[in-house]
Amino acid sequence: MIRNNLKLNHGTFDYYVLQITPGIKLEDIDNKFLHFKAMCEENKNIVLDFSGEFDFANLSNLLLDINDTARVHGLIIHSIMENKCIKVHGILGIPVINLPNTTKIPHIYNRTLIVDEPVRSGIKIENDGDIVVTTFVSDNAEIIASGNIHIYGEARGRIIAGISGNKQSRIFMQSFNPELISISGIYKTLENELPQNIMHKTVMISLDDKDRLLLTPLTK
Amino acid sequence: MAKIIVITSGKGGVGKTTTSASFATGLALRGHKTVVIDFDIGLRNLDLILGCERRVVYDFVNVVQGEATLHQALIKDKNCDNLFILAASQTKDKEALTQEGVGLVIEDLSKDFDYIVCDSPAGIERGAFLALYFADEAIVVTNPEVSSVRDSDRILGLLASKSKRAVEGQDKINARLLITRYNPARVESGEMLSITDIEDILRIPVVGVIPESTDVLQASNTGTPAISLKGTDVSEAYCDVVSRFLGENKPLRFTQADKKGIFKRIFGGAR
Repeated sequence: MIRNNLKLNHGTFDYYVLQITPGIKLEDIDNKFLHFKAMCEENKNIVLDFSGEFDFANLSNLLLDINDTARVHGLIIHSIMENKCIKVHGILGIPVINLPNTTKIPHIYNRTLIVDEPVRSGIKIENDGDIVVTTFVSDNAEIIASGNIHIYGEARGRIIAGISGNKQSRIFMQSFNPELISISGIYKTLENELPQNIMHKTVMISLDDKDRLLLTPLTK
Repeated sequence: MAKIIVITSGKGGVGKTTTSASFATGLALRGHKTVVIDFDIGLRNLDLILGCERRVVYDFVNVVQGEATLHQALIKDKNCDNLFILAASQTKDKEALTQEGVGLVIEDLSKDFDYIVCDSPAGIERGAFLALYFADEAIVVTNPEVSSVRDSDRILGLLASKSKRAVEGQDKINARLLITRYNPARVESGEMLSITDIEDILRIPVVGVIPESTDVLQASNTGTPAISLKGTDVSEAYCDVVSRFLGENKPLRFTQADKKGIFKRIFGGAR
């Protein structure tokens, strides 16, 4: 099946990568676009990834055809990925970009950082993904994650989750006593004496549907 | 190989130099050959506390920069044959110390001594960094108040991340807490943090508690390390610190407020 020549991948960006190999047929591309359109919203950006040896003279024709086909389906050819096999420069005014090979990188987002050392004053721990701290976090330390944060010791310091805008992120603390909590940019400083039912208790922090920070005690 | 101990705190004025002088003297009195190095370049104090300020000819910076040999710069303590002092320079600034230079000096000292005590300056600048960089053990000096405790926490973070042992992935520096200027009466009245409060925040073992005392000032003024003021609480407390450091099991002393007797309560004690 020629289907092997075609691959649509979710990248880590707002683009979808279409891999094209030599000898590809336009109808296969058309099929792929049709299929693709059905499974996602319209007007998604497509990045073309040419892998293999292409005849440069035919390339601009091929590109023109792909561009037209995409437009029929309401899709946009955003750019062409630059790779070792092929160098194309500004054909049809489509920019050439240098993306990391998104087809080989599985979602970075799921990587969890586990911290076993105490996080002391002045130390900042950042991760694109979740952070799990198995010990305590001191005042003036910062824990910053694009995903969720779990702290199993006493949680003081500044605890910041969902920094790249993930409103689904949550913070879990075994012993609640932070200086500041934040999810997806919505933050709260905790300067006053905290209520008995959450202070030093197990607490989950999330955003509610009106983007307010919600503190839920997890102990009865 | 010598064991390298840094006396550090982050905050100034908590008793690092007093502790360095007494601790080093204590080790030396136990028969261990000990050298104490003043890393507070530009603000040298250790020589004053140990009463050898008039005998400083060459200092630590001279040795690091190759202008004097260690033999020329080491000052033998007047009371104790096992104790040597490497004084800081009063005229240079902290930038005069280099990591390589300090490393070479410490390597040389390691051949002859059992213990190298590094008296760290306050702050987290180069002098403090170099004092802790080569350490095997750390004594973190803290006063029972929040800003001192927080600075100690910061220093513990640096010990765990920036020291040679941390950078090279060796065993962690063994850090222990020394609480100085502890006043049990003021702790009871809630003016000062208690030992438990401090332990809760820092979570490292306590190596000793030194009571607040006017004897410390008197010791400094006379150029005698506090541990040598026989019969005082401070001297006893520092002796205990040295014992615990060397692995002996000693209960904490001077941590309870004096119970006033009936006569003192009626007539008031002369203070």
